Amino acid sequence: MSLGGPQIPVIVLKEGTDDSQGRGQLLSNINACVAVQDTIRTTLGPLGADKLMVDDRGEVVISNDGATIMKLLDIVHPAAKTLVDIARAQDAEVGDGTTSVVVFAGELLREARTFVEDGVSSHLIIRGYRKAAQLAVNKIKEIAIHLDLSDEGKLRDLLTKCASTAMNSKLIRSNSTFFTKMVVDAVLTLDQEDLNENMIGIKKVPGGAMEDSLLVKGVAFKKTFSYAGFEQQPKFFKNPKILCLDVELELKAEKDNAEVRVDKVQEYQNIVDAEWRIIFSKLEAIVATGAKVVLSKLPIGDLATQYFADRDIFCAGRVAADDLNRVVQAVGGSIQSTCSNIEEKHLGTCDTFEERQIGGDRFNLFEGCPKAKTCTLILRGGADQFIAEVERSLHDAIMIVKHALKNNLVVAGGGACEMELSKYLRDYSLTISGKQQNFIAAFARSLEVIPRQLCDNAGFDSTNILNKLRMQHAKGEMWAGVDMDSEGVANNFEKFVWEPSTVKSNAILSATEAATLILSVDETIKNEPSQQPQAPQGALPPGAANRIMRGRGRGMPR
Amino acid sequence: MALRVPKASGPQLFREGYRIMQGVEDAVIRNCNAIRELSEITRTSLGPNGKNKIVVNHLQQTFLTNDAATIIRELEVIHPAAKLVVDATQQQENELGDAANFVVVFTGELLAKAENMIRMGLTPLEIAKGYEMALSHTMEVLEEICADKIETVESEKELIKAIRTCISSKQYGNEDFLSDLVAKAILTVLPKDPSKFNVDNIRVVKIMGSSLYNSQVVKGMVFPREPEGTVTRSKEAKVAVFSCPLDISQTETKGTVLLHNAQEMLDFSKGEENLIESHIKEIYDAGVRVVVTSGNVNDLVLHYLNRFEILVIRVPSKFELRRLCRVVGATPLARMGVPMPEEMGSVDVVETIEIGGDRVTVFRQVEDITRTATIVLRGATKTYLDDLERAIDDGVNIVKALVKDNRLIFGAGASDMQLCIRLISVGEKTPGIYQHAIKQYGEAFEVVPRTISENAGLDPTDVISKLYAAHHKENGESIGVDVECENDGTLDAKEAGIFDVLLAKKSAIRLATETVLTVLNVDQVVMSKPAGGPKPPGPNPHWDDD
Repeated sequence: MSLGGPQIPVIVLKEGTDDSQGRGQLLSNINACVAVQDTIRTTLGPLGADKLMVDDRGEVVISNDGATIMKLLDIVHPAAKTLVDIARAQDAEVGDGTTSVVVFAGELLREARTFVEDGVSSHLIIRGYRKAAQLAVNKIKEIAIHLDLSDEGKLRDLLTKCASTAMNSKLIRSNSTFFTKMVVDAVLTLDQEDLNENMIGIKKVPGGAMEDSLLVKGVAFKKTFSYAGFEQQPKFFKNPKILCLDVELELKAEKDNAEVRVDKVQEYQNIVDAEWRIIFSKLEAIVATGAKVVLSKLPIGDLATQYFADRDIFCAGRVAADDLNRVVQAVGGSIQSTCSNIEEKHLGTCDTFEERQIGGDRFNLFEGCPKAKTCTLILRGGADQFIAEVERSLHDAIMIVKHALKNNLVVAGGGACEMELSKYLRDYSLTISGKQQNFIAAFARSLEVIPRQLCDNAGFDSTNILNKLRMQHAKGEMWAGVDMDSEGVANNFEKFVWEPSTVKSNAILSATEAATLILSVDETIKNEPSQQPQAPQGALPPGAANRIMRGRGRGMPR
Repeated sequence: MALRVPKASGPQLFREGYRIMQGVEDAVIRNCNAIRELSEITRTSLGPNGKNKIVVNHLQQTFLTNDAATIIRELEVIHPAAKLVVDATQQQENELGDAANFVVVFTGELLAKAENMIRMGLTPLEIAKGYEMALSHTMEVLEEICADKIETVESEKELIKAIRTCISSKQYGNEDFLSDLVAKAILTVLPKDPSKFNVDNIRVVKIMGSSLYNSQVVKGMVFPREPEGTVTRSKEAKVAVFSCPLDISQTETKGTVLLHNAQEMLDFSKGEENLIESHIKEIYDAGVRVVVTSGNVNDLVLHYLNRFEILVIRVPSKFELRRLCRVVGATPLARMGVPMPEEMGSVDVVETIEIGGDRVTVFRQVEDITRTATIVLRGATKTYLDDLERAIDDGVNIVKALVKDNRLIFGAGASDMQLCIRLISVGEKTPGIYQHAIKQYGEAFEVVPRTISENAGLDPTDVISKLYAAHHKENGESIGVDVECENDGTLDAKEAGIFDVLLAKKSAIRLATETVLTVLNVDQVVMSKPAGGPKPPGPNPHWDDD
């Protein structure tokens, strides 16, 4: 037997499968994440730069919002995708701090890289980071300042401060006083139990100046397509009754598959009359309810428009579903799918209804709604991209205010909180022996990336300011942070740079989870994508989604 | 010798393109190599300090996990012998959930030892026979070294004891929190007779955002969607479940409504509304306050449901619908109509709550033992959540094994070490050539503590020798590898509370050994030429390059 010949390669996996293992792979994953962090870090903070992105369809997006940028970056690297996920999670959970979370996660990995290069087992680093994150979150709870929300007057003041901090880092910082008021008002009109931010509608109207934007306490939507007779309808009502329908008010076949067979000419005329009678009976029923404003999800045709105009009733068809839902939320009543049996309780009302010109468009405005748990922001501005960015910024600010209201714990922004945590962790690390000391200190160093980046983006000397900050914090100045105005250090709590503490704790936890996840990977196995012989993914056979989830159709019988 | 016998050579026997490998060198050794290569991949994922892998499958889906069953499933193994291992892993995963990686690693190690013995001159059949004998000894030994018992699965503390080790091998660092969650969930659904426990009754809903430590157990079922209508909460309600869309019944046969005169037309449109209204009214009068459907809800139907203040929710998945039926005790109806009293279910509370940014609907029974519990997982990334779900699945599966056999053995490589020592001594007492195979089989168990310590960054040789020393002492059978590496790399598994489930171990050893026996018994591999037509993705004609 001729054993022990030259080693012959045995192929276990499919050709095209790329697998790489070991420390090299870990380092390459870290490098990929650090590269992503480098892309996004310049947008952090009030003086961060914006990014202009052109997607594959040539659409231009200008943004400063971390989550938006990450989403549009179209990252394919499997490890770096994790960072996209945490930005998205942060966006969904707290709305703001999306850039911080990516920058911080990247920095944690950057710190870990030196350890990995030195041959430290990544599990030890993970343990250290997890411990540090827990400590940091507990410390946030400890230092956060409880807002007294009982006083109505003060409440607004406090919320304004949180909103303006969130907005300072965005495109609209120059108008922040104007917009903060708007945002705080908007959130305060919501149902305070529920705080469902979907109830704040945002409408974009290009043209005009940013200050022309307005907040409608109630609902506003763009005038829908209308038929002849619309001009004769009144456009202003006081205390009208409002009826919301999901009915098509037009002459039409009652049922698609119905067929009429007539044997007499006279019958024919009767049928035509009957069709008219059907629609008139619907219209009569509507008029009989006493409603003055009739809205429908489905079209309202010529005939109905004219009929309503004759009876001084305003109508609008093809109202978008979410707009109509918000109308119902604001004015009360409910959406009706039939015209018969409409009772008083199904109608809503409001103080004033009016159709008004805003910019180049006409808007229907419902104001002074009794159940006003909703409001609408109408944004004006020069360019489409610009308004889109304003919308994103406002969304962030709305979320911040919402969280401030919900948890009413705040910390100082501008890197102050991070510096304090960093100091706390550094002090803590000195009390423990063993390797963990290094990792907790590394975590503490990573936290400093936020103030450092704030300085860098603003063009300050970060080393200098950071040294000042460390000194201040060592002296016990808990809220010393970067001061953007004076290019120095200031007590950011007194300067009212406030952020809800949930933003910080969520960012730290998410970033740590992502960083530890990436550190725990030592191998990437990539199968070659299979060419799909059938049509593109749009038309998958039923059950395909399930199969994809399980992978390869060898589903587990669970 | 004038007679010439035509030579039946390979190329004439088979069609062209067939590949034959035979003999010890070509078939057995190569198969061993292939499987060893596979086990090298998953080896680094064994144990609490096992590394994660990112697997991107051919559909470009990303898996980030250290669960061997998932890794191997997504790898697309093409080697025929290595595929046997894949099947064995899947079986272990499906039946017991735990120790899937052990199957792969142990198979690889057994074959590595077998390869050495073949080179020494033993025949594969002798080795196979020896392994078989060793297997039966192992089973006996396992019965002897049983360390502890789960007295009752109804106690949270006892449950955690078993679940913790299983979860810590997947999610080290979070095992306390996760095993707590799993134990709580299990206890909420555990029937009076634990052997009737159904793993299907524990659901996992993943909601991105926040962190793991905000995960919670919800009694009842959680659907990540809102009710369709305006009613969002209901209490002590009767439930009707429809497996059809809520719509006016349509005829399957193509039909048209024939109208003869105007009056008929007028009545027709009225009739439709009245029909639905009367339908809904009947349902309402029957006491139903919550309607669940798997299909769409017609606008008009929704309108009347809202009028009668009946809560309506869509559950598109048939499986979820079935589970919901079990929770509320309802029979799904295939057409819209009034359910019989016995077809209706009841639920204590249905409500819409906000978890993170998402609104979810909860069906909850207030009574102590509900039939379904849902673990709402929170986490920063999707891949992370998926991995957590797998860890939870494993944890839940352990209970299934526990109700069958409640015995535990020491974890952390302690029981493997004990098996190793005992088998070697058995081997030494066995006369004949099988002695080698049995001894080698015993030594193969060494791979577990060695890999665990390797992954933990310890010096494996050092740890192994310490373990040998400890296990030869009195009362040393609980000494295992200390992944925290605080002392000298060893710890007492009993004190640390690291236990494995006996049944899982048994089944894993058996599966691994059976795979090895199959591989050893193969002496010829015949591969047909891949058929023509559209090529399967990336075929490699030289699958086993010479």
